[in-house]
Amino acid sequence: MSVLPLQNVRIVDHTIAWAGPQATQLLADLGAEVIKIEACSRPDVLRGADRHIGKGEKFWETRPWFIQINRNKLAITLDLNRKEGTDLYLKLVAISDVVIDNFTPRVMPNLGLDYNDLRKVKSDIIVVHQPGYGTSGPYRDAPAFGDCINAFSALDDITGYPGGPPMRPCIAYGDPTSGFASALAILAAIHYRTRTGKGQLIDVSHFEITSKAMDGLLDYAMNGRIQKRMGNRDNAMAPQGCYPCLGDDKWVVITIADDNDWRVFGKAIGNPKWTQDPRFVDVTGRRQHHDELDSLIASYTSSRDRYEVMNLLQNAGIAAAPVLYPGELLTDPHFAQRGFFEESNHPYAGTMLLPGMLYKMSATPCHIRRPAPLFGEHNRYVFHELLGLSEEDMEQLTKTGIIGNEPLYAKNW
Amino acid sequence: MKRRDCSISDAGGINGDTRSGALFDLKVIDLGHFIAGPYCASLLAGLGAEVIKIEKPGSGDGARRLGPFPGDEPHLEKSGLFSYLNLGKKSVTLNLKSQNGGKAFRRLVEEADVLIENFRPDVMPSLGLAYEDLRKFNPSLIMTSISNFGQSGPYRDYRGYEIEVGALGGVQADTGEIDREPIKFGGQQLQFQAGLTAAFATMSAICYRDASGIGQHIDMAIVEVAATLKGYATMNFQETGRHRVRSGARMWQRLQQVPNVDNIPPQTRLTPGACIVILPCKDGYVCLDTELTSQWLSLCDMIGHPELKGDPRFSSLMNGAYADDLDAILKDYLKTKTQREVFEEATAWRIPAAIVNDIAQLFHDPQHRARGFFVQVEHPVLGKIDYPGHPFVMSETPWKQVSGAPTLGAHNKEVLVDRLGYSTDEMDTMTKDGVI
Repeated sequence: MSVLPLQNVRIVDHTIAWAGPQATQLLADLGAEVIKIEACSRPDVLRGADRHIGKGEKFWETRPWFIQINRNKLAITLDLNRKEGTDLYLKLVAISDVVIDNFTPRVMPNLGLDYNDLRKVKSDIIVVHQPGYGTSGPYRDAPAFGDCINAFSALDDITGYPGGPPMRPCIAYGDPTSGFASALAILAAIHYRTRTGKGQLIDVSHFEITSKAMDGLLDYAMNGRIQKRMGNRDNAMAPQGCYPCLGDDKWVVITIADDNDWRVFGKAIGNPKWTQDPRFVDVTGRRQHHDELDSLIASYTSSRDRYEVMNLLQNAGIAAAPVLYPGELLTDPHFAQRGFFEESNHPYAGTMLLPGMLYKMSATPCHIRRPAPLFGEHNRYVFHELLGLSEEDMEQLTKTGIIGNEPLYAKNW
Repeated sequence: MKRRDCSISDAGGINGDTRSGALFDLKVIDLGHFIAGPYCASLLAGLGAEVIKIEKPGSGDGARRLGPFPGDEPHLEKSGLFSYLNLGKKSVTLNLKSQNGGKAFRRLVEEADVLIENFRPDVMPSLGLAYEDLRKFNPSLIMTSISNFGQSGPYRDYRGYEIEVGALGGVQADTGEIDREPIKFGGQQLQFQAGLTAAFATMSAICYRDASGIGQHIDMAIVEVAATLKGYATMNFQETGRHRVRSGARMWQRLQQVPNVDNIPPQTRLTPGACIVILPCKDGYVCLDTELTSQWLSLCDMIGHPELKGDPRFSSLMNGAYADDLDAILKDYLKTKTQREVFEEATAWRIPAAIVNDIAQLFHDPQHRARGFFVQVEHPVLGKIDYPGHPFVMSETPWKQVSGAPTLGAHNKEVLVDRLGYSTDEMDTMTKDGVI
């Protein structure tokens, strides 16, 4: 049995959808015992009642995205709206290291489960709130989903064709970014607690961590200039663009980083006359005639396979890459050799390939060890084995609906 | 190597000189350049680690040559990007290709907990500074290597900038209009993502080392971070066999019919036709982000069209033909409202919505300013600038952002003479030889 970096860490996980579960996925991948809590009346929204892919009646066990994000985790059910539920919950917190949620800020205090409450049962507990806008400020109680964060962070505004309107960047950036940030904060807090014995309260705002990546803020702060939409072009390097290749909707991106690259590029593609045009010899000229250059480069690429273009140019030392749809990564040779995608066998959804580990560790390599948990799958492990409840206790709690094995909506399905 | 034992008294208050912060006991060497490596190290610095940046004598980190510059006048000490990414670090110049430079570097590595680098994978080995070499001097060293495509694989030595890594990582294909080329996201999102995830990765190795004393090598590929960001789309492809195509300023259209799910509470199901769209209003753009059915129903009421709730065009399948109909209805409502009015009204109805901030609006955003997100830091050459500050708020160990980015080689004396014990004569020789 190989050693895992976080094998002695227990995390009580209230998170739902993508943002919070992304954080606890990283920690579960590292071997932390992540105990996901769902209420029978409110399963994780990502279990997705909108999708039923016909693998039996339990549609809440078959959503691929849920299965990807929640691998390596355990799951229990608990009704925190009732005292019997919160009593049990606090017993669990008393033997845990971290509690994390990504609800809007009023939820945990309304349940009587904020930091001060939890500190009473475990003085060094680390508590993380990960709401869209943080736990303070004028937007505190605004409902936030990933696209809202993209909009407020100016990511929408700086993405688009030159001269065109803002485009929707197709990643709800705030979700995974705040997940990575929460995970970092948790590990920093664990390290600090190892050294000092102290826990703490952490507030992770999706809006803030996403805004830290907006380097256009520096030009505004210094020069009052507002970053514009540039499509595929770059401020410093020309030409850079996305060029059509052989086949429908097949593209390659190429960056000519400097004058030397330009000379090498011309040679690599066989020195067609236009690559000797004196107008293009320096970056100023190439930028001035970027539109024309784009057409000329497209005339080269459009009859060629995108991988062929990449490999030819890369062999000459020029940056180029095919534009792949995420599904196409599954058959790309580089990802295959890196072993990036890992198989997961789920009892209801079957075998799927999941994005594996975010990075490789030389001494403590990690992998997908167990599939995403079934609803309430680990009730027995947590309540009976960890917390010492008897069979009779468990039966009583199930009868009164404090714990359960199915979402309430399953009865109506 | 010696492990420093830290007592609780080391973790002091929040001001400049005393070692404080969650990572108060850690020493980091930042060999990074441009964005990913330096951003990673800057997060560790803000969390309290001591960060010594090693730079090339004479020219330093390549980011010093990248703007923005005040008035667009290039200057080694005035790059806004470099300034932001290197707040609170120390700078030591060392020529790692020289024998004496390499020696001094190895001495620093002996004392360090972490080494961050984001060179192409062949660089560190070519300098005799691969992980296998460095661990001989410091077995508990954590070395975090960030590269475009990873330390292995057929594309290991391929070149790439933000656009190439995003394209290969699946991030670009579905952004833009279907009848045009796909576009990259604005800015350098993946470089920053890589820096953030590398900081996490580094801490995962630190936590393991805290328990075991064992160091290790982290291999982070930016293209794999990108692939992780698009994980949901890879899963969707396995489920449907189809790619989600580009759809401009609107959320992708669901490609398959879904069953009637009326008996499931609206708060717990994703809306069959997600209405996620960026549209113009009176004074700019706004984003409406209805993802739950309950929000869609509220939206119909908010815009004064309750009859849309039962409209078959929008109830169980949202396809391209009807998206234009919906856009027209929404634009009609939005054209009389300012960005702020839309945001406030939608929030009151519990509908997720947002102002599409431009960079200027972001800089002045009331939520950011109320939370003290921007911090003014003074730099000896650049002067006072507001920088984005904390990545999150910690109650016991507040974010440290008290000093500006270092001038090139500013800490040569402090580190090489005072700490490592080089004499002033040795320093003079090294300067003459271009070692520092």
